[in-house]
Amino acid sequence: MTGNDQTSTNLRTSKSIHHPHSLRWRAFRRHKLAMFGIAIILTLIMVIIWGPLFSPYRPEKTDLDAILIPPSPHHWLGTDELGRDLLTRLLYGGRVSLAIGVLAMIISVTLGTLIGGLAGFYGGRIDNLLMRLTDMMLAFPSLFVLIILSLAMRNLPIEALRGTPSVSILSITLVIALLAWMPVARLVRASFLSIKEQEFILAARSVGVDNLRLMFRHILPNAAGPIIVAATFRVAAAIITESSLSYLGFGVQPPTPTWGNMLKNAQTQMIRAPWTAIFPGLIILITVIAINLIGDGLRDALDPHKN
Amino acid sequence: MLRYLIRRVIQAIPLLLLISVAVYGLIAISPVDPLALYEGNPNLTPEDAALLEYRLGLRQPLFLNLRGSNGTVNPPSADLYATWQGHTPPPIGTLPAGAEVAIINGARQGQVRWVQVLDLERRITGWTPRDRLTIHVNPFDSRYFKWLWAVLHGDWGRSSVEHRPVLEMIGERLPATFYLMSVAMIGQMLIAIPVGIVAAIRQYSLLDHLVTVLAYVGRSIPIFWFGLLLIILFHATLTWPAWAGEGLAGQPLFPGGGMFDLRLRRELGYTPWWDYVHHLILPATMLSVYGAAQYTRHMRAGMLEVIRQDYVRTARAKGLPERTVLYVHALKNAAIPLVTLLALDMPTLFGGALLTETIFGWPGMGRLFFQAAQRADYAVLMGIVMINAVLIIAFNLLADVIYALLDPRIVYN
Amino acid sequence: MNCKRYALLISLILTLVLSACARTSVPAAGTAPIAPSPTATALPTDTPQPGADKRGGTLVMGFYQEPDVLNPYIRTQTVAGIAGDFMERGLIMTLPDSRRVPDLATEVPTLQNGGVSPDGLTITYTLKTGILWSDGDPFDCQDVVFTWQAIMHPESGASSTSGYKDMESVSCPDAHTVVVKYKTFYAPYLTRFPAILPGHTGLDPAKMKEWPYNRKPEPVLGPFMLEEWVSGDHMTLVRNEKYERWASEGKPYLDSIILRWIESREVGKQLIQTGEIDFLWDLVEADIPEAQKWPGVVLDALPETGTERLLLNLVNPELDAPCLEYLQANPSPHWALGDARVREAIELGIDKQKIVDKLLYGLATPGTTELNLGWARANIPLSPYDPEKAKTLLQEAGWIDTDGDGIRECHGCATAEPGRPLKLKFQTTAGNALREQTQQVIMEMLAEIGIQLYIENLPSAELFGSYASGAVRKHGKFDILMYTTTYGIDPHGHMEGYYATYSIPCDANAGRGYNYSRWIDPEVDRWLQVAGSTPDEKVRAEAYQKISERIAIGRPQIFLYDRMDINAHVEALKGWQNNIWETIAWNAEEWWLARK
Repeated sequence: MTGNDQTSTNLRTSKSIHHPHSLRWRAFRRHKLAMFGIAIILTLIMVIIWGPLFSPYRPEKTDLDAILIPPSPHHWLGTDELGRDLLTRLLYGGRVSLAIGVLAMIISVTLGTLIGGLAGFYGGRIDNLLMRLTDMMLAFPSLFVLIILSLAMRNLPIEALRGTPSVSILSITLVIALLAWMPVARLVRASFLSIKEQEFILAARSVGVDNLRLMFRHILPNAAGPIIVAATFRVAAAIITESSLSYLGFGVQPPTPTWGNMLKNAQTQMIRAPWTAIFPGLIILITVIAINLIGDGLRDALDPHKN
Repeated sequence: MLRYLIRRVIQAIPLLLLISVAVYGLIAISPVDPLALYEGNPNLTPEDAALLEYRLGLRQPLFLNLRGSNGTVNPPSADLYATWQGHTPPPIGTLPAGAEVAIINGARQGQVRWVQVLDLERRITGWTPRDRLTIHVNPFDSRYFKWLWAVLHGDWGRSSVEHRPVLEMIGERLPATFYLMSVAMIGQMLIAIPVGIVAAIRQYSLLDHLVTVLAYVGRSIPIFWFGLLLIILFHATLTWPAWAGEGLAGQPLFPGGGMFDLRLRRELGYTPWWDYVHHLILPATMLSVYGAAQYTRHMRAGMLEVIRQDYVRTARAKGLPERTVLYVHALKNAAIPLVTLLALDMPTLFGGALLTETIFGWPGMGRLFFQAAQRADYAVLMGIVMINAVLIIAFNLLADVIYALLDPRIVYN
Repeated sequence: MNCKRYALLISLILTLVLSACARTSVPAAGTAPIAPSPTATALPTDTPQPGADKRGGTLVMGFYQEPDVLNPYIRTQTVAGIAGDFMERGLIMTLPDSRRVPDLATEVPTLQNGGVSPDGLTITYTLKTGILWSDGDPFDCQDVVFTWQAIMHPESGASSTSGYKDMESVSCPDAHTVVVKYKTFYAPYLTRFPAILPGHTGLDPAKMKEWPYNRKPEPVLGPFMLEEWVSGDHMTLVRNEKYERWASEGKPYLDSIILRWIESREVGKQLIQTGEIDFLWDLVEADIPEAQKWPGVVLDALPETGTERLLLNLVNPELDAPCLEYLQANPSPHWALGDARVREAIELGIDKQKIVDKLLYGLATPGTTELNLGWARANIPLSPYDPEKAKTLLQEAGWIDTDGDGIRECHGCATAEPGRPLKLKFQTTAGNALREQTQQVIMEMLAEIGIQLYIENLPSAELFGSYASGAVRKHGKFDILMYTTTYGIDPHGHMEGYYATYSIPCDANAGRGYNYSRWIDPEVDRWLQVAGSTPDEKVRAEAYQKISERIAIGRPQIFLYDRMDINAHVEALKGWQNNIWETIAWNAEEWWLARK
């Protein structure tokens, strides 16, 4: 079931007395939940970056004598089916999952902004063409196409990266991004369409500013608000998509851990060793909640007359 | 309005064609294997293999056939070679001038263009330089156009695994998906609408906060993890208590999968309604709760917005009972975006929730897709994707129409 | 305002009505109406029926794979073989202890009883009389002839014609005598005709791929027949009352058997504990400790001929299916695996016993050779786990780690350019938890000796795909593959297919043959020739021993562990016995359910 985050696109007028940025920042700070979300994410990032340095275990080092140990003083979250320390794997997996999330977001937002911006700005034929393209991509049932694409693009023929985990990580990221840019494009198009008609744009045009500058230096910064909000939600969506794909077995190749493929590995013994299934899922839940909180906070701050 | 409708329908056609091109492109980049059936058959001579490939159209160009479909041999004759790669220099045969051949493959070696030809009459095959032939070119004699023609005539191909028509396999699974998803949809609305309304009316109350938190968790939880937890809890952990009687005590509270109990059906000759319900509860609950988490938010937001409107205050001022004000006037307008969203979600009634069906072993379309993906059965995969794409486009249109009908503010031109 | 209201109401109602209708009137996943259970059959009640005390009941069996086709000469999957076995009978069958016994024939043809001519080319089978197909027609020699014609028809789509293509003729001097005349001696002749197709129903051999028979075999000769098959859910088999032993012995005892397609072994393990299924097929060794604790469940583990092995590519992987002639003229060894010392180092660097102990709970045996069971089994000593020797070998072979990253590079190696790191691609079937675990353990073991492996798993349909589709195995575009193959009671076809020089798949032979390693050893061809030209099993066994010794030295494959065939069933199921030479369904007519 969907629950499209971008159904309503609110437009702002820049009628603030104070500098617009500080006003928004203050509104954001007041949003307690969003602050909470940021705190969680920052903690998570710190732990993920520096935690592994303190861990005596390596994520891929198997220890066949220590299979499926429940949480204990030696292994705070227990071990998995090959004796690898779960906590260490969660942290390394976090690097991969978050990297995929952020990278997929960057690609999809860039792509979406480009397409939506061009469509909104130029209108007419270009708008029609680009929107048909967007509609076509939206018409595909996403999980289905994700699976097919990941099957087909499983092993990108990039010689330099051959044999490293980066190959499958990159291909998964690309696949996820290719199916995530459409809501952003719609959003950006709507923004551009309305901002384009505003007085300060007409003024700039009459002064002779060329199209490119118009788009990037005048319109885009004003459309930035909804884009940032969308980008935030895209990260959460990408993390969940990656976990679904990996759970079904179409994600990153072993032995590289991601939160999603840890859940897949856990499935065969989730009754015997529930900790292998509970912790990866839990951390996905927490991360995604935190990101959503931040997104909501941003949305409230950047779209003041939403509520 | 009617003109808008017609225009949208007309616009949908190139969209569908574009989708079919993309879909077929996906088939092309995935390895398809119709010859696997003949794999171990030592009786298959290279000529037979070539004939089969020609009949199945395996090596023909993908979208536009500029290579040529058939040709005639130029005088004096054409020498046939085993491969174009030059490992085996002596020609393996010769075709006389004027012989009609089908072209089944092409390659380029440096400057020389080679084609693999098949003489249907003499039943011999081999490679020859392209300039030995006069070639008739028909750009539409390609795999894509042949596929499109077949699709438009209702032939969606056969599964490479079960060798049955794709449409037949999809048709078998469709009712199960529709059954599960429709129950889930009803369930989700039954939860989301009242909860959303109440949360909106009593904004900032404890209930409202609880609802918001739960909706949050519902939005953020990976659905398959939720399903796994449900199974761990309701199937592996909880059991019927002792007072449930001999046959039930100690049995898991809910079945771990499937749509009905086979042995029961065997013994009784049919499946009683309560067995269907028993198997339906866990997956339907999971989907309903998950879906409700999304819809509650919208219901609540919609109600909140509407309650503040002038006409609601007017209705109150007119002295109408609060209940009428809320459930008739306010709800009607707050429900508009919900109806739109519902229409947009309709395609899942047919596409099924892949993850849910896989976890609960529900024999529906979603699970068919997953199994086909595991077995690399591309014909089935494409069939399902095409159907879903068509449905999504159709329901998108329906959603726009409903929205226009319901919201007096919208005007289409 | 009014029509808008109307529209809203109508759309809401439509939605609800549609859904409600769907809910109550849905057919059970598209099946035909079910006939009531045939437990009450009209039998004479005066004299006690033979087998009456054991008769009755429905057995539910759980399989995590579903067959695609059931036609015995098209199907290749194991589950399809099992499902078919309930309904089929052949001329000769094999008992669990590997003795051959007649099934539809009256006796096993031998030189002594004249069934086999002195030159070994003419085999005469005498068929049992009085056997009926399930539609009442008599079974006779014509059915055998039809079976042969169907297999050999060029367009029939038979997956293998091995042996049948060597038959010059299959004829019927009378209705119950079959005379098979071979053009050349075919050593595994007793294994031909494991199932007979009905010749009297007018099926067209040319259209065999499209026969409805492939999804609904009828008529049948076996103890059970197919009543319904609900794709994605289950298959129901019911007693065939025309079965030979029904009237005389009351077999099959069971009224019906349901083959249920379950999502995975995991689900199956739950279902058998709750009693929703009575039989769980194909567990793995790792399941045994847990399965032994299930109350009321019997675990059966039998060593089988399958061996999980590493298949090494001995030839340059950039070449696309090079033919034997090409390789003989231009030896193109694999840049790493072409060197026998590297292959030996890999085997020495893998602690097979540890894998067996830890991942398989000590319930398998470390692998030594292809032929680990049966009359032709070979005796090859287990390779030691010796990482130090492995490292020395690699050093000698010119693979030295100069930059200290733990991975060796080529410095003076025979087959690669200097500086090339020893990184090899390691592939197996995707989605198999045990295999993925084994892969990761092997990766680590080889990392210790300086070889780095990287994983690129494929769905099994792609890994085992056909030559025409460009499958990596067939075209030689791999480094190391890992999977299991098994062989039957007569290993000749298997050994020839995997190890003969003329079994290298390439364009010239339309991709036939299974020598994917592209190992060329003329000695092996010689011994295969010996093994394939005499019915004397002693001579043949010696020849296979010699071949196995050559394999152990040449290492086109490294054998990891011998598999076991593990199944679980409820205690109430009696009469079931596993038979690795046939299928788990070989004696389905003997099964019965003990009542409490």
